[in-house]
Amino acid sequence: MEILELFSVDIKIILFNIISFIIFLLLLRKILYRPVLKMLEKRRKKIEKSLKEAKQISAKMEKTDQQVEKTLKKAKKQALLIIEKAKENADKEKNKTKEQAREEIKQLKDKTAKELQEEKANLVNEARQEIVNLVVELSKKIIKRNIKQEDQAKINQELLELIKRR
Amino acid sequence: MHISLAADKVFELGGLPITNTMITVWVVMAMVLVGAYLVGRNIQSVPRGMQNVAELILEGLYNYYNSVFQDKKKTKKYFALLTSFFLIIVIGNWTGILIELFPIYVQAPLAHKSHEVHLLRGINTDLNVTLSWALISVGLVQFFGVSSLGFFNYFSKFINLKGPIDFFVGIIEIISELSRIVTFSFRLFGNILGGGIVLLIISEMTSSFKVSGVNLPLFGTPIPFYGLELFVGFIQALIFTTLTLVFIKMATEEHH
Repeated sequence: MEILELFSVDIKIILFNIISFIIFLLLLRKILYRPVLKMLEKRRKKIEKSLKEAKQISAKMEKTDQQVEKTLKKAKKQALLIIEKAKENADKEKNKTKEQAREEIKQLKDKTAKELQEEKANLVNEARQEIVNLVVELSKKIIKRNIKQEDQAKINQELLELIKRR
Repeated sequence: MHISLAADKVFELGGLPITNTMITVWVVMAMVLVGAYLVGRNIQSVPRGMQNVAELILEGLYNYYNSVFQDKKKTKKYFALLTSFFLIIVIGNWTGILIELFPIYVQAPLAHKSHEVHLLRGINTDLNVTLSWALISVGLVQFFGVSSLGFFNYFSKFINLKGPIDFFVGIIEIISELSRIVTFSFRLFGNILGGGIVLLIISEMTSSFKVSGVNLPLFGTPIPFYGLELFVGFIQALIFTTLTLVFIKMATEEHH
């Protein structure tokens, strides 16, 4: 093998190099590859875990947000309902009060009207009595004669009836 | 200017010749190991400083392997081999450029002829080294193939008596497998040695460029070539790693 001589290939040197390389490889694996790869793997797992956790947290937050919104909505609805009810109640109360007031006014009015009527009747009666008396006095003066007490009463009665009849 | 295809022997140790590339292999390995130790002794989940760089490289390579394997278990299993290849080749190539810029000469008293030799030499400019890488790569590919498919199942790819066509396909498979040793080693060796020679020639030419007897300093001329060689050094490491990766992938999967 001329070509091997040209490059002075020596099997002893090659064997020595191979052994050197194997030692080199084993040492490197121990001091560099293993720790670095282990750490990379660990970091990858950690990042994966963190990402997962972040996702979970965000999902939870979203859920909480939704719940809060739901509760708020419910509360709003309820509040509206309460207001509506209160308004209704107030309206009812108002109407009731109004009705009552109206009733009272009506009663008062009726009563007043009745009283007035009575007053009027009384007045009219009195006036009639007066008129009758006057008429009798007048008649007395005209006929110049004293009418007996009972006659007078009789006449008064008759007159009164006459007037009343009209 | 002296260009040698073979590495120079610096001294001998109990019958084992110690060449300058062997010394450089150790130096490069030591550099990588020291760097790895400094980074690896204090790995934190929040990276700082050099850990960022190490993570960038290792994670990038990991994802690259995984994109080929599509199997995290496999990627983890072959990560050490592939990454070690990548690191030793790319750092070796880059230190080779530095070595060429600042050569260190030593007397080699233990060689037959006492003469000045380089103490260091780019590791992949020696066929002994690239051949070592190629043998490890091809050898381990066979080993992984056997260990994941079973002995007979794996070697049925090479020795197949189902019919004449299958038989010849098997022989072609054997040849292609063996030729990988050659292509792996010579591709890396040729590229890096050639690149070194280009740098040497360009530097030599521009440092003695004369116009009518006046030495013109063309100081910055080699700089683009250094950039190119840095790139080639990286690409060759990537090619070596990628080919090993693909061959492992092919060997560990059921063939049809």
